[in-house]
Amino acid sequence: MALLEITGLVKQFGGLQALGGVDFHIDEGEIVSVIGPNGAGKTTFFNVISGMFPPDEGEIIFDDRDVAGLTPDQITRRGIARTFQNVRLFPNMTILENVMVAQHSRTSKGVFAALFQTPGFRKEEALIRERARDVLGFFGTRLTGYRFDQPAFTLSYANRRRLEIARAMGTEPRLLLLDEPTAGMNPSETAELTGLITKLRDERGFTIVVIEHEMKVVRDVSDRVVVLDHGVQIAQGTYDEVSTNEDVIEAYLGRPAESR
Amino acid sequence: MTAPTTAPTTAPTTLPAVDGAKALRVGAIAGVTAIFIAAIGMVEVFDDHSVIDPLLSLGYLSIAWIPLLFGYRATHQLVLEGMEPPKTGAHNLISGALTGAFGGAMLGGFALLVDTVDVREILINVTPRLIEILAFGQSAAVGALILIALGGAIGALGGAFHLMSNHWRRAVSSAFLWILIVGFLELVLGNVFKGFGVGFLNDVVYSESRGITTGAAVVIGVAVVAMHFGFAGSAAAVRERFLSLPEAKRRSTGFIVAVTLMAVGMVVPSVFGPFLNEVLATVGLFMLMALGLNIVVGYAGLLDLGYVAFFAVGAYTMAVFSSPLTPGDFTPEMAFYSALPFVIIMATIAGIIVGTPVIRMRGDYLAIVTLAFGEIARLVFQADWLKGMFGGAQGILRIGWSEAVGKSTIVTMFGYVLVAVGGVVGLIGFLRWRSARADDDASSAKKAGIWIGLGTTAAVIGLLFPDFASWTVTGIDSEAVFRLVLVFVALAAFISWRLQDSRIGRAWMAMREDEQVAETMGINVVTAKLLAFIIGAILAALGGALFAVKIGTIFPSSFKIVQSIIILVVVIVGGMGSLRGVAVGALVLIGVLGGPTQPGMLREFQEFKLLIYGVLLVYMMLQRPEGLIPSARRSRELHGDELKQDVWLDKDGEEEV
Amino acid sequence: MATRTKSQPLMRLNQDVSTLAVDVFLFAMKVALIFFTLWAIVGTVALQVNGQGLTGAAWGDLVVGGLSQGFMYGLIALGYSMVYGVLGFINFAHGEVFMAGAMTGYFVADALFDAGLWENAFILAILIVLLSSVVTSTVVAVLVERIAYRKLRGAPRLIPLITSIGMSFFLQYSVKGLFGASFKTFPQLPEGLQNRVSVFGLEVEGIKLLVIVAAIVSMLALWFFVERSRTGRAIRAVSEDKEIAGLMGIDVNRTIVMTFAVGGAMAGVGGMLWAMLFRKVFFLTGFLPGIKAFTAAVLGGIGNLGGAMLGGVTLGLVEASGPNMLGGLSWAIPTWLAYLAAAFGAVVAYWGVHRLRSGDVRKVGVSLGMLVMGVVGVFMGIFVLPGFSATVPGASQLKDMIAFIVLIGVLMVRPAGLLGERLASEERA
Repeated sequence: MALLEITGLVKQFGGLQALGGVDFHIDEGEIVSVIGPNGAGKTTFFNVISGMFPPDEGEIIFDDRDVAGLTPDQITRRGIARTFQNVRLFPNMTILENVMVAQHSRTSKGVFAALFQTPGFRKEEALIRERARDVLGFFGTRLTGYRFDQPAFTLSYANRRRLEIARAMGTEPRLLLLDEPTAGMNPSETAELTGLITKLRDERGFTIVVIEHEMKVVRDVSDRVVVLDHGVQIAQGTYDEVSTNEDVIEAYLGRPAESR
Repeated sequence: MTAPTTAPTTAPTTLPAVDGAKALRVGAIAGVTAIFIAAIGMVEVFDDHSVIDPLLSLGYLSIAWIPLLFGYRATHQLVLEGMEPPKTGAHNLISGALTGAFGGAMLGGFALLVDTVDVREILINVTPRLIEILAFGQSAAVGALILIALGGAIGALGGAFHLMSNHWRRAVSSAFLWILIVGFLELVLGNVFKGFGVGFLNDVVYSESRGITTGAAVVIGVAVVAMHFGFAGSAAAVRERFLSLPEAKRRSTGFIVAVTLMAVGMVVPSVFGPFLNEVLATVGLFMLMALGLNIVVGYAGLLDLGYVAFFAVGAYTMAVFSSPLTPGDFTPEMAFYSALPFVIIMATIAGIIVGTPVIRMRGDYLAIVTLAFGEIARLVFQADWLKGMFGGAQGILRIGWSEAVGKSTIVTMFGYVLVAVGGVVGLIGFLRWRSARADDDASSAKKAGIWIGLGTTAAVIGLLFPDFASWTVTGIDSEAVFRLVLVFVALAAFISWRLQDSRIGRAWMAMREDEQVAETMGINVVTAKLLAFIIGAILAALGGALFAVKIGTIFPSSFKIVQSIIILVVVIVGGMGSLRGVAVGALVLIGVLGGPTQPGMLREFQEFKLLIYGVLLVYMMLQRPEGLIPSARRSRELHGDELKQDVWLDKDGEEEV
Repeated sequence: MATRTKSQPLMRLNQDVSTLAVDVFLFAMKVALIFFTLWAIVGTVALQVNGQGLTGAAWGDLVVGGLSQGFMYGLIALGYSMVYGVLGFINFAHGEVFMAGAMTGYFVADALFDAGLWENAFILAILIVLLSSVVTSTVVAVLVERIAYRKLRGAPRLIPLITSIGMSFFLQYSVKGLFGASFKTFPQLPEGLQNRVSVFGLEVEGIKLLVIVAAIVSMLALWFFVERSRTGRAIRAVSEDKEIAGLMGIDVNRTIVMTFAVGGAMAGVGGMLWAMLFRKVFFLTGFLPGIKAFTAAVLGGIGNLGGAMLGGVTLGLVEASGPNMLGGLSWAIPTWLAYLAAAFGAVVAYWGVHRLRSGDVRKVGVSLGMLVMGVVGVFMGIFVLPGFSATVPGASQLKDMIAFIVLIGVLMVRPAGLLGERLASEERA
């Protein structure tokens, strides 16, 4: 049964149609890549799913409930987390805090508990810390140890990307939306991250949607590939199917002149 | 005069030539600044207050710093890491002297001009007395020459700072600073000396005209320089050691320091005179409000310019609930503490009313709308429309009136304090016991039992003897008022401190850094923002309630926007989001300069303080947006351009649509 | 394809209670705002029809007064709007730029009065006053930019705002220190301007007419400047996208300075007219007109020059007639209208229920707000409103409050303003 089921998703900005009726579904435990040329509407697709923009039309059924039009925090609470194409961390918060913040919707203690440091509050804080450490530990030693208490802006670019994924993991989602996780990384970092994405599913049980430009990554991680162009899905299937699909080649390379 | 600059790179051994054009340019700015300060009347007003008797009056000091600073700046160069440090030598002195002399010449020219042409019609503060001061009692022409000479000399002194080693420079600057501080603290130290029975020190250190004596100045100067060399490094070592402590240890040390400061604050008013205590009470009130605003602006990043509205709501709620002369029929005539819950309720409502419409607005619109709310609050309290409730422009009298004492009074019954404290202790004990039982932790459960026992005992004693050792504070007794205010400040600081590192504190921080992302991380920004508004409003309203009882009478005119801005200045100068910073900011700014109408320690500043607050705001934003004592986190974020250099963090970067 | 249940009746309110409560509260605030506005307008009209209102001449005075005030707001608003359009922050000190113009106007006019030029060659005198006001305001605006804002390019938006607040204080209290805190009284205007002249059948004070004409002329001049001149094109380009404009060979810094200069000049005209019209100037003269002019800029749509002018005039008219309109609240609501309101409330409530039922997750808060407010409307319409009236004594004291409520109302209901905002791409949040 599908974890996320999207039908007829439409989003317009002024006169510009960013999404023109996208249908999409992903099953529990699947890794699906969304590819497409620049401006195909991939990031808008993520923005609408994660609630940053409400859709104009269409249904987004997540875990058997319509989440279209909910605010981002409500969607996160239901179990969808995302990263951003242009890494958006909380640069002045420490690395640990960045991930601790993500636990917000999984925890509940309020002002009074904090003021009186009730046992419940302390337990919850300890739990938040422990989970944050656990999530950061997923990336080996890169984000752990002395790094815990360093502000996020001190990190290298690749580590920022990793931290962003860790932060998304911190919200304890079922569905993880990764927006170009390997953009700007060098080949060895890319290769490592490719492995990590699979590991995220295998070890942590996340269902994952990836927007990716790097075809090697797409080939290595995806169970299924969905191709968007001009806000509509033009093809889907396994990597091999899609990579030989004529519509897809055309979308990327343009229509050959002689075929017209 | 305008020798061309030789590029320093050509011959590293030769000194750079004097850059005359730059010196004159800087000198011109110095001159304009000096003329401005003279023309707004600062020099004249400050003239009676000597700083170092008989050498330097505050009046002269108010312009003497200009050649010193600008003489230094005339050859100042930004040295970046890895750059060759600039060569120093005679050119520093000459440039400085040139700058100072040119500035002096401009001021002298101004004095000459206004001596011949009477401009008092327009520049009302250019009085004959001012001209006399600027001419050092001589004729204007001679005075101008003296100004040039003095300006040149002080400017050269400023330039000479470049010739000193870093160590010496620091020592000499802090010697200057300490002489000034001791001079300004005449009122405080005088009281302290008297209080501790060493009143004779007063005659030694201070002269009749409020300044310190020349001898004392020399002693202090030499002592500070000597200390700098004697104890060089040991202060740094202490700091180092503190920073190397583990976090928990550091925290408890901080806590001990805070408690000690609190104890000192409780004791200190007894040795101070009534005037100083009045100043202290004002400082306390502003510290309370600044801590509240710090939660809104510093933690949650919401620039609330109408903070005064909550202050007004607190004051008026207290007035309506406690005054026997409430204009309407509703006259409960409650005591201070009985009215306090209503103050908190009204503040919460006000926080929701102001907070709700602005939740989805972008930051700068939020600022303007809150400003509008601030003005609306004043207009509502002032209007004839609601005169039957708030007394219109006539305000409300006899707030917190006690028939028995015949004054505005706050009676603290320690019995009830005990009940409250005991209740909290007992509750915490109960919660601990419950969680210990869940964990099967016998020793913890036993400890929790002790908490419960202590709490219950305290509560029972309190209930049995509700008015033992009750503490009556009348509004005019500023010494007691300060102590009471300090308790509230401690409460506010405690709230801020505990919230900072909690779930909600982290949510605020995330929201401040990037609201959109915070939302996608599961933070409900609506409730987070409202909560910040409400907590800020409650603290401000508590300040307002205390203010109302302290003054005994409130008028709508006490609640102008100026008040909001001054609190904002305190927060920004201290350091947004930094508890220590806000406390120090309130102490220094309000203590020295005073509140919107209340005087500070230097009463002479009364006329100029709003001007100075404005300058401070601009200066801080341009030079140190993170404040004097920045919070650890905040320091970087406000240097927007630095962040922008960092391509990968560029939030404004185009997102694919 | 997975099976799933179609949306249930009275959809799950699967949202935070607090968020919903806030949405409902916000909706209620908007409804209350609109309700009172409507009541005031309808009441005023009704009283007028009953012959209890003001005379036509009095209304004419209000309108002309509002127009003249509004055009001055518009002139100041241009500066806010242009700077916001180009740099994306609220130049809080702009009110003080205006005040500097007004002050200069006073000093020059006073000197000219003493010199006798005022009576002998009034037109020349007024031109000299105008020129000096414009020059001073321009210089102050440019200096403020140079000293305070230039270093802050690219800083987070609140930083320059705070700086401008500091600058505003600095300018206010500098003027107080230099020239004193007293009110400065502008010299008596010549007879001709104090008398009323007849325009379109309205008896208008000459000075107000002068203000309106002068404002329109300056506005047209500005419009030509921005639309037709090279510098104007540069300003528009920079407000569109600073980076690209820079790449196209436009000197961005110079253009920004020009923006401040032009805005300052307009404020100078406004200041001089203000000094002439109200004949009283002091160091806080700029504060309230400043905030109101910003309100006007937002009302018209910030970054939009026509909008600034329209917003100014609208605000001027609302402010002038507002206190009178509050008098409209004293009109007892007739029973039929109250029942009509109740019926309308019932419709709204039903509509809200319908929206909730249809399972549209979007804007549940609004749907719920419609339900709640509709029910409240029914209740009020039947039990409270028939015959209800309110008197607001001292309504003229609430004039400033009306302007602030307009500001809050606009930002709550339609933040883009009447004509829509025009901002540089990076400033759109």
